[in-house]
Amino acid sequence: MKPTASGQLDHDALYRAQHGRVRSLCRLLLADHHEAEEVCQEVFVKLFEQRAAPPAPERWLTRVAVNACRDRRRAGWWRRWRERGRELVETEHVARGPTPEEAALGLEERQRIWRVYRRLSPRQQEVFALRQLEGWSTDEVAETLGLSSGSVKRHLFRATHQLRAALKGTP
Amino acid sequence: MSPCLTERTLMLLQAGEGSAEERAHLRACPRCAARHRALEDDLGLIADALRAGPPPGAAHPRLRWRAVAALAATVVLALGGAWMWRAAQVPPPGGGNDVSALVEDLAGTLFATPEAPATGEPSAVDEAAGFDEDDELALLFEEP
Repeated sequence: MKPTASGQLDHDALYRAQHGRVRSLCRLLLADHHEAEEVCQEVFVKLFEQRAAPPAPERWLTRVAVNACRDRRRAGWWRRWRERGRELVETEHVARGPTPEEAALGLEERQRIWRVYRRLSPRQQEVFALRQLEGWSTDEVAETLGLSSGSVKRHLFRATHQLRAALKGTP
Repeated sequence: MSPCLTERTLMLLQAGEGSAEERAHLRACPRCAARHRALEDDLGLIADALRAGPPPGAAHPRLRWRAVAALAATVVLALGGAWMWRAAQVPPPGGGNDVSALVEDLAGTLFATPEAPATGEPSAVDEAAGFDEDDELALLFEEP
């Protein structure tokens, strides 16, 4: 997605193209559908407030989303704890069939993986999400998160090691 | 042939990195190739699980610890406060009279000033100098 010739952003097109990706990323980093949606909206509001187009809007969105999720995790843990019960009840009552991913994976296995993923450090979660799920290169992840390439590799290795252990049932 | 690849190297190769020598080993070694495929399969399953979103009961394991820690800290603070309040209510052994007397003595010693007697009697300094008030008055009214 590139800015128009006049340097203005096509906000609508960018929203349509990136909203799903940014929301998925926020959901990964927050493990909460409601909060992920809220943070995603905040991120796009910030984008709309930008008068000049950022050089690489996709990467800009990712960086802002990662920072917003980090702030949210840091500041709002008590609120999430308070609202946790409500979220779980709503999740359990969603009437829908299993997705292909859910069919392939047992619920227990999925829970194990998510539990271990949430136990990773915030940095490890961010690196794993961007590198393995978003498919970014090591250098892109390093630049976006302000880390060295070595740190990215180290975080990625530790995260992968723990998640594989969870998959085998020996976390 | 070079020794088999470590898990870390396999992961780097899976991420599109690693040296040419390591790639060559991966192509030539069936054991490492099988481990590499297993890693890719596992990462695929993990990615699917994470993309599917958090299942019920998996969210916020850290919050439980934080909630427990916050609760424990509150209990400790409450117990500490109650203990201090109780300790403040009980008088010290001996009723505190000895301490009061000591404080009074100390204050008397520290703040005592050499006051002149207010009764009109001559002070020891005046007596030593042979000074008398009556003599002074007589000098004032004495005609030249």
